[in-house]
Amino acid sequence: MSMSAASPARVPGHDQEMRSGSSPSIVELYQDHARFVWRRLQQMGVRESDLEDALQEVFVVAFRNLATFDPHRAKPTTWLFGIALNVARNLTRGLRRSEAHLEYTSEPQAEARHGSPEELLCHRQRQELLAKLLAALPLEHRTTFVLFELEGMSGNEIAEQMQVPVGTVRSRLFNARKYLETALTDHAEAERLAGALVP
Amino acid sequence: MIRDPHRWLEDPAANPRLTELLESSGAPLDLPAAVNARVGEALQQLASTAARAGVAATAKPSLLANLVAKPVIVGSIALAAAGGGLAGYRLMARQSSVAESPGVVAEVRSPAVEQPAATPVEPPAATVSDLPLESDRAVVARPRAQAIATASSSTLAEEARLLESVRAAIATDPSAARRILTQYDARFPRGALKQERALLAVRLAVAEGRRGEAKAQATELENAAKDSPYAKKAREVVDSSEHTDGARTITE
Repeated sequence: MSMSAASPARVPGHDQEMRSGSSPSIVELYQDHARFVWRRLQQMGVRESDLEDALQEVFVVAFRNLATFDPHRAKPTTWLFGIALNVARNLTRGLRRSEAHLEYTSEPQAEARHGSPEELLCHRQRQELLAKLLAALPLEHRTTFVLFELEGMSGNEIAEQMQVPVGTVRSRLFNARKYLETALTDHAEAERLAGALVP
Repeated sequence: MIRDPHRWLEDPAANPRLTELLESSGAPLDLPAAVNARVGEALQQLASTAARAGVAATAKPSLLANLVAKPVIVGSIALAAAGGGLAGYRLMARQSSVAESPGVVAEVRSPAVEQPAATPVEPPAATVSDLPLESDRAVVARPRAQAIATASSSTLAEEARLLESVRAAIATDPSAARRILTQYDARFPRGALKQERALLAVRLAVAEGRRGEAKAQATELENAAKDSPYAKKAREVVDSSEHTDGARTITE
């Protein structure tokens, strides 16, 4: 996910726009960045069943607000990321924790990786637990955590994309980690207590 | 310079249960080709409907392009007034899939309108009692999105196509255009393209000589989405019809 070393301030669509010297149309923005938005929406916790609508929503909002986007001031990805964050916030707000989502890997892949049914069940249980824990985090904390820990982005890259100081990114990461550690301990304790109740 | 902390997955000192959880997450799903095609087509339809309606939305051109393409600055738009428009539009669109952002102004190509700088808009913060949020500093505008509508991308394309039929019929057969518009309303009571629909309704009222109704609808659209390019275009359509009628009266 890291940016090109030769041109750290550019993204492919951005380069194309700079070369052509014209402002991008919504169709060009979509062609260049649909996959980026799709990926980010998943990392923000949007459920698979909502992804298509969310993707469309991001670009319809972008279309309506295209005149506010200045490609000379900001990267398209940064702008679209901000819109996606708002779309994801609306979609995930009020989502019950049991519906929380971090189901990245499709079923056939998961089955191929985890041979036995027991292993697959265990894998799913871990996914569900991680999803529940992350769902309790504010969207910005969750996204920061996922981009850093799972996507492998640096603090500076996340700061640039989220348009916040790098100190804010580190603070969010710190708080997210702290919360997850505590929540996991609580969960283990709850499991232990529940186990003790079984005669 | 402060360095990033070690990633948990690469840190031997990290809690092994947490790293186990992270390892279970896998990689994000790729964008399916069918979804890509559907959404792409819907956007293409939306863009062409807007273009045919005389509303061209493009990204803000560079300062140089502004100077070259727009030698005459007609006026500027007060951003402070934009907030009221949002609530109105939400009221009108209710479950519509998009909402105008406060501080967001879309460009109308003709006549040339100066583009004010986008006002930073901070999205509402989600809160968790034990995790206070830092105050963020937004550098670029982040348009707000309203709760998503149920319209899928194929429905959006259908909406756009139906409105395109309305637009095409206005000049040749206004009564057919009205029938199609009624069909649209029945089929998409919570359609995502409310602004596009409102502009066509203004054009249709003008074409049918119902200037009072056109004016009222344009005003309604302005109240609902003040800075929308559709509202500006609707006002333009009403104004030019008044000028035409005025000229006709003088001639008569």
